[in-house]
Amino acid sequence: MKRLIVGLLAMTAFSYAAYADVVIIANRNVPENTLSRKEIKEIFLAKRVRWGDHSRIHAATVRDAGIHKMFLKQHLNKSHAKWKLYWKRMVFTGRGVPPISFDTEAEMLAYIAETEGAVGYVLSGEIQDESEASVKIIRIR
Amino acid sequence: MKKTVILLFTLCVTLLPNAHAFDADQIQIRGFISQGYLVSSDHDFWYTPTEDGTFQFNETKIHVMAEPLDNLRLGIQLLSRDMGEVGNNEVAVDWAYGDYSFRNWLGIRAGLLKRPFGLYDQSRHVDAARTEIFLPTGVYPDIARELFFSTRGVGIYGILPGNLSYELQYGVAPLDTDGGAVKMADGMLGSKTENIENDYVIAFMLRWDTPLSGLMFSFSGFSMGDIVQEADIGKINTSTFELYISSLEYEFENFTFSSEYRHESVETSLNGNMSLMDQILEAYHITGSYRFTDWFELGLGYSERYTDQDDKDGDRFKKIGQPAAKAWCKDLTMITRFDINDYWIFKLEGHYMNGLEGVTSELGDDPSEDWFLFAAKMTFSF
Repeated sequence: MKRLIVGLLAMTAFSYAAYADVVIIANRNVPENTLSRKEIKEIFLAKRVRWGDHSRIHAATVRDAGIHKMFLKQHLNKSHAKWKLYWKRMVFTGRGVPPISFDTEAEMLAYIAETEGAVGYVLSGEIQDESEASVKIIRIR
Repeated sequence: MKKTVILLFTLCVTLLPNAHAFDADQIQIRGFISQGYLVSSDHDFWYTPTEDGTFQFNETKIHVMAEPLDNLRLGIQLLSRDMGEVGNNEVAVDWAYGDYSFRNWLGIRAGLLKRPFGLYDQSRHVDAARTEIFLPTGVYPDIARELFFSTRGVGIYGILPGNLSYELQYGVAPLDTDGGAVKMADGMLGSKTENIENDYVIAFMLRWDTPLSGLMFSFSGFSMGDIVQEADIGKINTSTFELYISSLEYEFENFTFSSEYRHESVETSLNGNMSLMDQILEAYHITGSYRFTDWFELGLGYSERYTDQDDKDGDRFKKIGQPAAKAWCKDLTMITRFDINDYWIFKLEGHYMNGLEGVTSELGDDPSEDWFLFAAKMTFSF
């Protein structure tokens, strides 16, 4: 019985991980409130480097493999291996610098809150009340 | 050069515990060391003694990049490379430029630039950035990289409405007498080149990311002004050197498929009155790969290359008593890549070859048209 309960709990946790949404967040001074999927992809692949007011975009990611892989799958349609391959190519051809990467979501949230033009992501449950949060949620259009 | 490699290796090992490069917002120092082994059943390939087996197949790169202003990025990458008779681990500048971005649709670069050419040429000597050890040999021959690889000049780039992105460059190709292009020409003509220069190169790339996520097309190429070689036999002038590549890539999660077609026009004369070459080279490849796990990727590729699209059977070679198979190279490739961890990669690759284009050793009376090339490579990057 104990095993069954543990199994069900594990399945619940797995389902959460598999289906949890990753939301895009940004510094409160970022002019955009919505972005298309294509624009999100361009931002994190360093093809789009400026916001609508021409200020610089500073993309951020989390090293935590779980949320990072979910973000890549949901928003970039890329596997983690392809993401690494892409950035190796960009870096060694001098065409770009990968997004700044943090060990934890908390560190990334702090960076986005403090850095003008910063953009990143969190699991949808992380920000309960946007009006009180130090960052804003970017809606997908 | 050994000292340089040892120094770079020591630097890598020292940096390993902290190997994400330096502060991401300030100065970045990154690099890699690749060491490979090549062996073939017959023939030497691309001026490398593959028939006996060789470790003369390595690349080392290190770069420094800084962003002193929000709009400005500066960087330089040094390259040391050996591929048989080419490179010989001389340290050279791989790229060095300033990159100023005005808008999403307009950035400008100036310096020694990577030339946009096909889907993969810019990462030709970055082993960690691709699945294969050799890029598809038909479309990306490694024998005369200096003709294709870099432009010393200026360029603009950006993204455009309609999912388009572009890049344009204008400058000269940094040619030198130790390069594979000169080696190839001197090998064919029995000459010795003392100096080589070119007037200009105009390069472009237009890329369309289609509405189907992961599917893209691109069209890229370049045209070079006169390439003049001053040799002991006279002045060798390549008045036409134009190259175009149409590319398609589809990437879905762990699966990647790509195909490219290359069209290259060359016209070369000696002393302005004797035609040495006037032909169109043609090549294509089809390559697919699948990443089964975080650490293992398997790929399969096929490419064909013809030195003259009007003489795919090699009649021109037969007429002068040489093997017809010098007119083509067909390459069926099995690729494996093992990502041991974030820093170490190991690759194994087998090429079943048909044809003698690209073979650089002496051909006997009855050279084998079918032969096998095996490649192994280990890369450490940080």
